[in-house]
Amino acid sequence: MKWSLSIAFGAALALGACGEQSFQDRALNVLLDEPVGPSYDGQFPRFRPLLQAGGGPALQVTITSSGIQGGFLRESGRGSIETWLGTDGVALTFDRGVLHGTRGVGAGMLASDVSASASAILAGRSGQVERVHTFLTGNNTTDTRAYICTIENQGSETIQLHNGATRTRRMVETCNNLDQSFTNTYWVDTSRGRIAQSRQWSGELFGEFQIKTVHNY
Amino acid sequence: MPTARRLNDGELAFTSSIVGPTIRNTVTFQVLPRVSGSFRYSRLDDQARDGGATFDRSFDIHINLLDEKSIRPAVAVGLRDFLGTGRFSGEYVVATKSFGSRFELTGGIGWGRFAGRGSFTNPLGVIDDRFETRPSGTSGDGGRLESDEWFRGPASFFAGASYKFNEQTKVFAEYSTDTYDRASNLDLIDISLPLNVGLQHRFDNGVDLKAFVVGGNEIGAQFSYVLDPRKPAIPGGRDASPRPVGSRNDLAVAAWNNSALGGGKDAAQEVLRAKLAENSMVLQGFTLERTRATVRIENNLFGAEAQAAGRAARAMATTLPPHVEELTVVFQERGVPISRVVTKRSDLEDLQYDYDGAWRTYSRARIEDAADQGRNGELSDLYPIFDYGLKPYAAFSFFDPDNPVRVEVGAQFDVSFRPTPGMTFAGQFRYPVAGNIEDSDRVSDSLIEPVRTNAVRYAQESDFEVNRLTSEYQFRPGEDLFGRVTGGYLESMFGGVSAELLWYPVGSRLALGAEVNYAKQRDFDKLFGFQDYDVVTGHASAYYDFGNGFLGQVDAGRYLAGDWGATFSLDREFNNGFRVGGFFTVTDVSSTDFGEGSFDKGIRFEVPLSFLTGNPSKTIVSQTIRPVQRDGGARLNVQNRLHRQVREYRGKELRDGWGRYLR
Repeated sequence: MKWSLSIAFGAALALGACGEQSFQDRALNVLLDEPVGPSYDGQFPRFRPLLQAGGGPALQVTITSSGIQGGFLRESGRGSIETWLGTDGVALTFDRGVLHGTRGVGAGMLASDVSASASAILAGRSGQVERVHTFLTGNNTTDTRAYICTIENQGSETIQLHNGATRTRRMVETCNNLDQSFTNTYWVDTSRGRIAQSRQWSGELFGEFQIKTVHNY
Repeated sequence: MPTARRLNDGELAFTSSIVGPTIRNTVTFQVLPRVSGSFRYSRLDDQARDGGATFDRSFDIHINLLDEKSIRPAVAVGLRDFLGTGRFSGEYVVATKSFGSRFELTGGIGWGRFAGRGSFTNPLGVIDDRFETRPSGTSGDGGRLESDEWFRGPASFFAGASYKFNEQTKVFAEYSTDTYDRASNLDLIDISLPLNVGLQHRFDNGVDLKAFVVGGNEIGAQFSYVLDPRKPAIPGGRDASPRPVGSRNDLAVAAWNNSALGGGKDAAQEVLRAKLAENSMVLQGFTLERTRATVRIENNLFGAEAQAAGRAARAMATTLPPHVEELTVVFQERGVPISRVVTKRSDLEDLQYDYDGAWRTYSRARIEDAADQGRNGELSDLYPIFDYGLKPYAAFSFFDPDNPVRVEVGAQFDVSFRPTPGMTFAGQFRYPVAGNIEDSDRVSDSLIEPVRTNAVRYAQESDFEVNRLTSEYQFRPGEDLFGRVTGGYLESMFGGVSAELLWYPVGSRLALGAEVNYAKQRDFDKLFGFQDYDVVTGHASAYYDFGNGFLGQVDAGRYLAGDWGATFSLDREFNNGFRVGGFFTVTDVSSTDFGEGSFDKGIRFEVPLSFLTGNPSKTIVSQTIRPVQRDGGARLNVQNRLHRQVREYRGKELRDGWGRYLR
C-alpha cells in the first residue's frame, strides 16, 4: 500500500490553523513589523533529506480526538531514545517505541522516564512500573508528574498494517496519579521485537495519539 | 452589587455593562491572591451641564479578608472610585456564603454611593462621632485619596442571592441601595423598586453574559470575560522542533570538519551560520579552539532568551568537531555583548532527553557578564548593517472628553544604519493618511509649561512627520556596566541629547541607573525646527526584582516641565512575558497647577505576540493607559533605555525562561 507523507501534522494541531501562514497572522506581522520567520514551502527543511535517504519505516500518527494525521521519519537516535521528525517540524521522541517527548505541538511533553514501561512491554511482562513525564506549561514552567502504571499482557493478536497482517502481542498499560489517569495500548510485533502499533497518551492538551508503523511508503 | 468572591491569582477580567444611560467598561486585575484592582471607564449620557455625555474614569480596590470555610462566609472590603472626583465613590464590607453547590447568599454594608436607600446612622459612630457625617467637599480635579471620606456618613445594608441551575446558568436577585440619584432626578432612569433580578449564562468559550432588570423598569446587560495570563492561545507555542544532538563522533567525518575536503573553521562557521539562521538567529562572531568554541549571536525569534541559548548551543553541538567540549553563547544587542551562557557539550548530550533536563542543564550552565568579550572573533563581513522597512501604523488617543478613543492611521518608514558595534543611526518617519486625532478641539489649558498637553496641536500642524532621527552609541564601560548616548530628534515633541549609565550585575535582583538629558521642545510641524522651551531633565533609577514576577522601579529626578519628584512603578510579569502594571508620579507641581487628576498615574499592559499566535516571536504588544495626560511628571520618551534591554539577558530572566532551554 502506498502512503503519502504530505499531511501537515503540527500546523493542524495548532488549533486548526492551516499550514500556510493565515491571513490574520500575516496582517499582524505587517502591523507589528514582525520579522517574517524562516519560510519553507510546505515541508520542513530537515525533513527532505530524511525522505530522500529512505530506508527504515515511517510512523503514521493520528490524534484520536480530532482525526488529524501526519507522517514521521527517524531523524536521530541516542541510546534507547529516537527522535522522529514530521513533515512540518513537529518531532516526537520515543524510548523503544514508548512516547517520551513532543516538540512543536504546544505545551507537550518535554521529556520522560518511561524506561521501565518500555522494558516490560517489549518483554511481554505483566506487572507494576513507575513512569515520569515532564510537561511545559503555558507559563514556561515545567511540571513533572510521576505515575504508577499497571501493565497487562493480553495475549496475541493479528493486526493489519500497511504491509499486511502482522502477528503481535497486545500490552495494555493503565497509569494513574492523584488527578490524572490514562490507558496506553501497544501491539508488539513478535517477529521484529518492536512496537508496531500503539495508542498513547501525550498529555492533557492533545490527549491520545494513535501511532502506526508503515514499512513501505 | 459587590460580592466577596475573587478571581484566581493573576487573572484579568474585562467587563462591559449597560444600564439606562450608563455604560461602564472595567478591567480588573487580581494583583495578589487577596487583592484586586480595577480601572473603570464610564459614559453617562445626557448628564453634562450642556446635556451631552460625560465620561468618568475611576479606580477600585478590593481586598479579601477571609476565605469561605464550612461555616464561615468569605469576607471582603472594598473601595470604589477611591481616586476620582467622588461621583461614584463608595466603600463596602461584604460577606458571601454558598449553601450546597447551587445556592449562594451575599450581604453587606455600604457607605457613600452604596448608602442611597434605607440608610441609617453609621454604626462606626460608636468608635468616633466623626464617622457619622461624610464630608462632601470632594476635590474638583479628582485624583486625590479622599481617605477622610472613607466609611463615613450614613450606611445601608445590601443583599443578594443566586441559584445555579447548572454549571453554566444561574438566576440572581439583589436588594440594591443605589438610587441612581442624579440619573433619576434627570428622568434618565426609572427606579421604582430597590430590586434587581437577572439571569447569567457562561458560554463554553469563557464569555459570560448577564441580562437583568434594575429597579423594576430598566433593563440592563453585562458582558464579561476572564483571561488567565498563564494560558496563552497555544500553551507552549508551536515552534518547530530543535535539532536533536546525535553522536558527536559522526561529526568527525562531516565534510566541513574534514580538512582533506576543504573543511575547517571557515567551513564550520558557514554551517553554524545556516543552522542559526533556521531560527532567525544571526551569527556575529565565532572562535574555535581545540576544546572550546564561542559564538556571538543576536536572537530575533525567541521571546525567551534561554530558548535561544539552548538552540544556539545545539547548533554548535551538531556541527563542531568532537574534541570541542565547552560551548559558549554570547548574547549581543546592537552588536554589543551583554551576557554569555557556557554549557558543556556532554551535558547537552546527556540531558536533552532527561525528564528533569530543564533544571539540570540550568544548574550545570554558567551565566556570566560578557563585558570582557571585546571584539575578538567578530565576523569581518558583519558591518555595516543597513535596515529599513515601510509599514502601516496606528496611533491612539484615549479619553478625550468628546470622543473616548481617537485614532490616526498612516504609513511609517523606519531606517537604521550601524557602521560599528553599538553605533546606530536611525530614523522613523510617518505620513498620516486618515484619523480624527486632529479633529479634537482640546487646547492646552496648562498652568505649567505645556510639555505634553499640546498633542492635538502637534497632530494638527504636522503633515509629513520626522518622529525620530537619532545617533546612538551603546557600549560597555566596564564589568556589569552599560552605557548609552543618544542625540538628535529623540521623540515627536523633543530633541536633544540623552546619556544613560546602568549598573546591573548578571545575577542581581537590583539594578541602578542614571540618565541625564538636555531637551528642547520641537516645532508643532514635527520637522526640524525648535521652540524656545528647553530643559535639563534626568533621573536616578532603582530597579528591583522582588521575585514571583513582581518588579518594582523608582525614578527620582527632574521632569520635562522642570518639576522635581519621583515615579513609583510596580509590574507583575508572568514567565511567558505577559505583564500588567501601574505607576504614579508625584512632583512639586501642586494638584491645582497639575489640573484634572491631580497627579500623573496610569496602568499598562504588555502582551507578547506569541501569546496570541503561538508562533515564536520577540514582538510585544504594549499599551499604557493614563486617565489624563497632563504636563506634570512627564518624562522624555527616549528610545532604547538600557534596563529593559539588558534585563532579558541577565540571570533572573534567563532562569525564568529556562523551561524552554531544551525546546
